[in-house]
Formats: sequence, C-alpha cells, structure tokens
Amino acid sequence: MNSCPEPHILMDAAYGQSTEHDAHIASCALCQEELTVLRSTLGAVSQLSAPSADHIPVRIPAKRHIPYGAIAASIVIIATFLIGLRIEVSADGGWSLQFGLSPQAEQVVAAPSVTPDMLAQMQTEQLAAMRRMIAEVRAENDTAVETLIRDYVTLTETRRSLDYQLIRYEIEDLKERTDDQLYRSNLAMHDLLSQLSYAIQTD
Amino acid sequence: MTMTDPQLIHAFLAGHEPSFELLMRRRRDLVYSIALRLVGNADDAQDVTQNVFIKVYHKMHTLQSAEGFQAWLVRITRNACMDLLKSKHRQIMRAVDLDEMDAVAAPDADAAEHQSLANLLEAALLRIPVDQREVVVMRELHQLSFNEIADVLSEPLNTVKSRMYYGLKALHALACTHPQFKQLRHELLS
Repeated sequence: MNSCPEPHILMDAAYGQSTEHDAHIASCALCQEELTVLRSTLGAVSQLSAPSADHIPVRIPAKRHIPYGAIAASIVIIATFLIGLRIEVSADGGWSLQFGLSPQAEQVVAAPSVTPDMLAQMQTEQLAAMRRMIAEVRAENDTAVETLIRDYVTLTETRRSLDYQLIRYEIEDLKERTDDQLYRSNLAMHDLLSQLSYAIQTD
Repeated sequence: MTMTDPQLIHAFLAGHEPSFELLMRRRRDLVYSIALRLVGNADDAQDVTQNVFIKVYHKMHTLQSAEGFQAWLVRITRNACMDLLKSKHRQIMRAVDLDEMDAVAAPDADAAEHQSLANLLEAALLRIPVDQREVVVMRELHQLSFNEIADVLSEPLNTVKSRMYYGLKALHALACTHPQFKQLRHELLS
C-alpha cells in the first residue's frame, strides 16, 4: 500500500492522464479499485445539471454621483474666508487686494494721470485687443463645437451598434430558452407516456 | 452576431450599462449554481448572487484581463459564499456518515421511492466538506480546469486534485453505496 501513488496522481489517472506511476497503477489491485470508485463517481456527478437562475433579476446598482462642482465651490469659499481675501476700490480709481483681517495690510495701486490724447490712444488699443481676443475665442469655440459634435455622433453610433447587438442577442437567447422549454416539455411528456404504458401493462 | 464576454466588459467599462446586465444574465446560472451548492439553500444562494452582481459592478474596473473574467467571477462568488457561511457559523465540516445520509435523502420510505438519482447526489454533495465540495462543483459541474480552480482558490495544484479525490471518495461513500442509488442507476442504465 505504501508504494501506491498519492491522491493527486490517482486523480490524474482517473481523468486518463498518463503518470509516472502508470505501471504500478495497472498492476495494483488497490489502485484499480480506487480508480473504479473515482470514475464511477465522476460519471454519476456529471449527470447533475446547473440549476436555472432565470428567476433572479439582474439589477444595475444606482451610481453614486459625486458633486465635484459643489465641492470645488465650497473649497474656494472656505479658502477665501480663511485667508481673508477681499478686493477694495479706492476713490482715485485704483484697486487693492487685501489678505487677512487687518486693513493695515492694504496694498494700493495708484491710477496714473492721463491726457485726452493718451486716453484716446489707449481706448483704440484696447478696442483692437478686444477684437483680436473675440476673434480668437470665436475660432476656438468653433473648433470645440465641431469636436463635440463629431464625438457625439461617434458615441451615438457606437451605442446604437451595441444596442443592436444586444437586441440580437436577446432574440437568440429567447429562442434558445423557448427551444429548451419545448425540449423539457417533450421530455416530461415522454416520461408521462412511459409511466402510463407501464401502469397499463402492470394492470 | 453574439458579443463575447470581453467585448461586453469593454463596452461596460466604456460606459454602456446595458452590457453589464447582459453579461450578468449570461453568467447568472454559473453564479447561482455555485452559490446554491456551497451555501446549500435557495434563499441564501439568491442573496449571494445579488451581492456578487453588485460587487462585480463596482469592481469591474479592477479586472486585469477581460479574458480572465470567469475565474474572477467564480472567485468573487466563492468568497461571498464563504463569508456567508462564516457569518452564519455553519457546521461545514460534517463527518461522512451513511446514517446521516439516510436521514437526509430518505426521510420516509414513500418519499425515498420517488427520489431521483440527481436528488440523491445533490443531497450527498451538501454533506461533504465545503473545501472538497467547491472543487467538485467547479471541476465537474462548471468545467473549470484544475489550474483555474487552483488560481481561484489560491491553492497549489496538487492540493486541489487531492481535495477532488477526497471529495469523490466521500460522495461515493455517501451516495453511490446507497441502495437506492444503485437501484436508480441500474434502472437508468438498463
């Protein structure tokens, strides 16, 4: 008995795999008996079928939406409060940024004194700069809108394709289950007829 | 054209939620069947199945390879069953006893006469230790290879094969030597 192979080797042999103990197994009555037991039990177990889980619905769990926008806004408000940031405009047109609670930390930027000619020139330059900026932003927006539309069309087509495939699968699945049901019904009918004929014979 | 599991997984990860539902409907029988055989009753198996769906939904992004989905799903199912069994403090390591088998499989003579071969085996399967049962269920009822089972259980290959060996021996002792089993098997084969 001591020379008999270990269980995992006998398991390999039961599945018909060759092992280095094949010669021993072939000539040992105990091993042959073990193999017979293993194979007959495997044969019996293979007749079991998986139970159907059709009655269990597949529910998609609800997604937890994280309010990133609200979180970001809260952080900004809290940070602003903590550092005591405020903007103040002085009487001569200048402005200042203040940090902390003390007004002594004030930093004043004085407005420069200008002549009417300088003012007109500045306005012209500002106008030109604004026009350039508007043109640039419009070009960027056009590109962004174009990309957005293209992405949306691609996404829609992908989803449509997936939905189409899913519907096809559903139909195939339904057909398969119907065929299976029909098969089971036929089998049950066959059993019933067999039992009836047996009952008639015994009567 | 039928979509493969990896295709459905990729679609789900890309944001297409119906793919998840379809994937789980395909694998529902596998999950429920393993759960039923490990926890031993339909209500618990149904709870485990639902919990597995939820876990898979939330952890799908951690799946390293879509090709390894089945083994991953079986591992999640198996762990969920073990958690349930532990939480209920069940006696899972029952001694193999033919008298007990009689009590379970044949509560009375009339009922025993109508019990099928499959029912006898199912009852016997629930009486063998769970570490052996899970190997038998995965190998013989769901056709996982020994290597896949070893991967799922994180156990050495030879340990898995040994558990299969002892599981089959225990099943044989419980069911196959039962007089009713012999009679049913004889009727089936004749």
